[in-house]
Amino acid sequence: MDQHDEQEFAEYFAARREAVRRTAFLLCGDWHRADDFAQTAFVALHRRWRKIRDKQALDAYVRRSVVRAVIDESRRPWRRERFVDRLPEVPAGDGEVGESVATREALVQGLRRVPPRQRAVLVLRFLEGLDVAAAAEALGCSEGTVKSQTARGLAALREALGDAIDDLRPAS
Amino acid sequence: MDENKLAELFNDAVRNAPPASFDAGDVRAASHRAAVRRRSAVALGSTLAAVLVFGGAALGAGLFVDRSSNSVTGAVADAGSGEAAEKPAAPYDLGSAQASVQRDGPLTQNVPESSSTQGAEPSGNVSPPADGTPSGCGTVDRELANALAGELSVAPDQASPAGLACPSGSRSAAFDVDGGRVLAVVVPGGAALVAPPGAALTSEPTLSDATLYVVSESPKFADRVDGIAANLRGRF
Repeated sequence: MDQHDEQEFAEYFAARREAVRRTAFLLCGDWHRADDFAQTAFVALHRRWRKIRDKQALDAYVRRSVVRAVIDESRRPWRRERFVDRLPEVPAGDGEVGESVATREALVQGLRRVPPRQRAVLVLRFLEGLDVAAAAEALGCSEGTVKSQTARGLAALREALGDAIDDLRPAS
Repeated sequence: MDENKLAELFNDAVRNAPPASFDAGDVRAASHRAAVRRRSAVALGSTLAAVLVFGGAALGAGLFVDRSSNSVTGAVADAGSGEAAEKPAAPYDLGSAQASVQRDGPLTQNVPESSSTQGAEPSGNVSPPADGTPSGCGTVDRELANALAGELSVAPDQASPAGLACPSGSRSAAFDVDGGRVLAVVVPGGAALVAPPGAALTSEPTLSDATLYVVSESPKFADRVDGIAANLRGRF
């Protein structure tokens, strides 16, 4: 890449790095692995920077790279996620701060029990704020699939968390 | 369930992110390494493909060459066997080396008995035989030479052809000694041998029903021919 392209990439990287890291973290539940996934996505973007003509599609490209990397890794035998009956103990806290931390931990742990593809739909919709169409484009599936995966993902998250988070209780 | 509250929950979960462990430089370096790896893989793949293609071509060509060479070899073998079949009919075409082997070894008995009609004569013949037949006296019989050398106390490798007119199938050897030559000739059956004028001659029947002649052109050995013949007769 020439200097101009490098400059453009550096600006995009600085603007989007934290957002991509956060997405990767909620997808995998570990900051170290999240950094690996995010870096892998940015490396892929850097290698194809000159070939990507539509700079408006950069976010979608990086998002897709991260989601695919996490889902692919979850399928590998040595990284295969195992579902357990009991969640690890959530650190107990005192007061409002402790409750906030406990809620955060509970959500992250609950997301780890949701199947990877449904987890990706939830993260894209509720963290990235994508609508159904954008999430479908990022995941390479139909909008109907995104809707059904969203519903199943929320149900799985509710089941994983139980009463830990009130906001996930179904409206009755 | 409020989607906005859900979004707040998700955003709260990632609010306290630790510092990133990579920056733009790391990404650039990793991208460069990946590009180099890809180029190396492409080069390696191309080399491997080229090797496979050329190897396959060479192997195919080798098979064809082998087949053709086999056929050539077969043809040569056929020709060789043809020559081998024809060899007995043309014994004088032998090379000089083979002729010398024949001269030195017991192959002398393979010397054809028929007369030459092409004017060729065995190599080493001092003089053509008087009866026109090739004889064993034109070559040195190594066994006879060794035996005679032992009697004369001379070196066996100094043996020379007898140079006499011998019957066919004869074996002979001669040595130059003080005053002339001493010869030993084994002729088949009881055939006669014509000795040079003035030479001492004696004969003894051998164990193989042949006749051993010992001839001395040297006066000093004239009285020893009987003893030499008696000593040698038991070996032939």
